[in-house]
Amino acid sequence: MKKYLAILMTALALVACSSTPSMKDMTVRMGDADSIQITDMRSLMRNGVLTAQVTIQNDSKSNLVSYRFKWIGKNGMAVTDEEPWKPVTVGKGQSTVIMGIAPTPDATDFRFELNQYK
Amino acid sequence: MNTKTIRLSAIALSVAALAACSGPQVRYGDAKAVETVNANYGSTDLQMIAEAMTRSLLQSKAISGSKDAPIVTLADVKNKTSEYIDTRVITDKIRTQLMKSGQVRFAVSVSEMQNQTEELKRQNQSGLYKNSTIAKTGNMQGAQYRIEGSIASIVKNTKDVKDVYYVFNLNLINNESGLLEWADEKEIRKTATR
Repeated sequence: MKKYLAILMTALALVACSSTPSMKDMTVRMGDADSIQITDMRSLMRNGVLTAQVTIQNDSKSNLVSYRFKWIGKNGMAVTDEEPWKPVTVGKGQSTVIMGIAPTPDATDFRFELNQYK
Repeated sequence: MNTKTIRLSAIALSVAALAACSGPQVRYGDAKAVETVNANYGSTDLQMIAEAMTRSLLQSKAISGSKDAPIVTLADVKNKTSEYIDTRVITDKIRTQLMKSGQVRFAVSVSEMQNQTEELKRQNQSGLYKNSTIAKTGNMQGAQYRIEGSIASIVKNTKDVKDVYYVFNLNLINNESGLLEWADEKEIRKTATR
């Protein structure tokens, strides 16, 4: 019994260590952006540059959504200055796909920042 | 006029003078924030265009596929809109972002050539400099590619609505072969309603 328990605990620990951050962890919400849902998030290296794709759905009345990516390199350091906020128009109940390309080949990870503008 | 009236007039005048002296309230804003003052070309448009073009160019085969960082020069971006747009600011911003990526090197552009030749002349012809430190003539590097493009707009107005559509086009041209190696565009639509 003890043996099985030990195996189970080890397996759980391994799963915990190897898990990739969830979409929720990779999204930073600022301002009043709670009603914007992230329905999909993926990334790949294209021609040596990290490319991200995020699908968002707007459940709020306001369609004034803005976003930006934060590109992260080694040791969790940001590879460049903060990006400008980019407005995107998404009607109520509609979804849209947002593409982001890293500014340097040093970027290995990203965070997606959401906001609403006035 | 009694003393009370004189005193009241003096107070009123002082208040008016103080109000006239106090200037507008000044605050620093976020340079990266979305700017929606009016539908004219603005800082957010400039930032979006420069970012979109830089990122797309970085991912192109011409840049990412070359062994050494290719040498590029800036050519003209034509303003075909009805507004005054300093297109040089757009290309400079693109150049800065590309330089920061470390994937591209830039040769001096046509507009910067005057300063470059003047500096070389000063060092080589004035006779003021130590020979070993002089930047020799004839060693400038020619650019493999040039970046050029255009910005155009369609503007529609009614009594209550102003709709502006911008399309920014950028091309990377191989100077030797004359081939278009990369091209991309960025579209922006802005609507102002009363």
